[in-house]
Amino acid sequence: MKQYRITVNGVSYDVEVEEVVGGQLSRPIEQPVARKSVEQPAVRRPVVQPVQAAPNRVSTPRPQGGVNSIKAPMPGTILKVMVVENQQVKRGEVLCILEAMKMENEIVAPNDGVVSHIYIKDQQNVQLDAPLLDLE
Amino acid sequence: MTKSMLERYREEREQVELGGGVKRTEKQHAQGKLTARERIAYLLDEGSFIELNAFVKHRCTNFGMESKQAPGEGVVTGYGTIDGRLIYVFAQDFTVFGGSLGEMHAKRIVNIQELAMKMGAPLIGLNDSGGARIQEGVDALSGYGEIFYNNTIASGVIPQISVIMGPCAGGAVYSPALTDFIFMVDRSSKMFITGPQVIKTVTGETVSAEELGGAMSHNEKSGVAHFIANSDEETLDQVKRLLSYLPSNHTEKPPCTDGFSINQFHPKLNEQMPENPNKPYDVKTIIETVADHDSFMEVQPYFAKNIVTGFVRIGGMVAGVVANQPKHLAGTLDIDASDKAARFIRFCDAFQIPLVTFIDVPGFLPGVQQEYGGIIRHGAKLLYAYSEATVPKISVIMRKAYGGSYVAMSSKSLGADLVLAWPNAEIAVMGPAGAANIIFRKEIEAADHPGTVRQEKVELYRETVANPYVAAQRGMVDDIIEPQYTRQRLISALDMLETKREKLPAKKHGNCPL
Repeated sequence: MKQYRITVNGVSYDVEVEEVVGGQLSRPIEQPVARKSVEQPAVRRPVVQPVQAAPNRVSTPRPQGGVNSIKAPMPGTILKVMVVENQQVKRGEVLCILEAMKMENEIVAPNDGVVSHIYIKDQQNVQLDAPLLDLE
Repeated sequence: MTKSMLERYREEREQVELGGGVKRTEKQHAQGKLTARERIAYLLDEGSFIELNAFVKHRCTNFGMESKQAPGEGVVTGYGTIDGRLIYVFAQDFTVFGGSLGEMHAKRIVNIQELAMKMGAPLIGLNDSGGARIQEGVDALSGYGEIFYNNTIASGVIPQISVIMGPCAGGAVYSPALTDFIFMVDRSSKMFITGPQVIKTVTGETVSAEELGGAMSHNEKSGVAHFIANSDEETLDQVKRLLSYLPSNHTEKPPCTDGFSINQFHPKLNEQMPENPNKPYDVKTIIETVADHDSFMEVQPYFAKNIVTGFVRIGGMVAGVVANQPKHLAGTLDIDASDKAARFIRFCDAFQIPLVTFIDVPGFLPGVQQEYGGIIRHGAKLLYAYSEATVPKISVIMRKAYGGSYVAMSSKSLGADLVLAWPNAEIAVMGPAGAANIIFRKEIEAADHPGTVRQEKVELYRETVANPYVAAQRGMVDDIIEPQYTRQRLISALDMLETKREKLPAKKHGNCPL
């Protein structure tokens, strides 16, 4: 067991380093040294193994073909239209920027498609649910 | 004991365990669904399940029911362990009378509800039922009532989790709705009060069952459900993951883990915030950076995306995170966001889970729809939930904290124990641009170059008011920190607040605006 003092950003930490032989520690890992030593609380606090997140990708090809009309989620001003008509777009691609609530909100494509119609131009004011563009 | 006694016993038990028989089991499998017993076996630690009340039989004699057998009465109930911790579980068996709920079916569920409350262990309900067993009439209805009553009484005592793995329609939906979390299996689960046919006859609207009550509809539109997954197995995996964050009852602290790094810091966080305060970013990347690796489990990821809620571990300690999401609706608070966050906060408070709030909020969402929809009473829930919560409350102001929405988001004045702010925080009644336009309207109008003057005044307002130092001078911010040290400071704060004790004044119960 070797002891080192390591300084990170001006804060020193006392650490102990132990050589691992054959992938086996000679003693089990203890709680980190720097952890405040609190009296065990009276309440029970079970220790569990963290459960890894399941790769949760729900297959959602929801929009069932046809025309998908993109509407304004909030009233605001169109800062910039980022696409042109007949342009092929990928899911997640920015279609236009809507300035509303002190934020340059990116309106993104909910699915792959072709921009079939654009209802808006730069600096235009739009109301809630106003059609912005159609995706086909 | 004679041999025949043992034989009879074995026969009876075998009969119950067969459920609806081979044919109906095959049908269940063909739909991509597991049977009730398979689901329980998958969910619990191997070999830990003990069934209770397996031999119940219905007492119905209407419509020839006296000659019909319903093994286990269409539900499997009992107890077992998950990750070594005691839990109670019921699983409705669709292969027996379509999992329909009658008097004795309900009795089995009520029995484990009461045991779960007495023992202080979570209750998990796996729902797959056609609804009330109509042959039984009011006996079935009364059964539902007793289950709802117990759900309500158990609320806040033990975590209650509902998993919808098939149909759940009519009155039956209210048992899950009264519990803490609802999981839905994509495609195979449906929830509605009135189905598509009834809607068609009554209002003439045409809607498919999937569109009306499918898993995604309830995860995204109605906010009834909290989680969605592709299959029975994936859904049950998520249930297990959720349980790893929860204490078994309200007197316990949430479980902790070890083997984390407490001295990590993240220089990238210092740069991550866009310089232009009007640029959106994804707050989830900040939560994931600050939390222990892979520990963020988002709750209701598809509903009211302008606020993010979920469980994390920070330095091994469980916390409930609430964060404004600038990427959606500019991170404003609206009706749905207020409801979503308030319910999550109340859950955390009930089960001793500390709250960590990340704030970047421009305000409440303006609009006629919001006002008519009652944003006043819905928004009030958020203030109520934060004020009432007595668990450790830590706030991190990352950028905007404007007006009423700043107060609502776990401000010092609502009882936050520790408020940290990043150096770029703008804490003010409103944004610098809007404020300058009001305060200096005349000066700006009279100027030769209104644009330049406006910019100067915006800067002036930012300098004088919209920064973290003014709030820190008044003690509304306890400390200003560099973003890169956020994780260390949160670990230290959670450690420091571990022994927090705070009691609300004696009362029957408060009157939360609903």
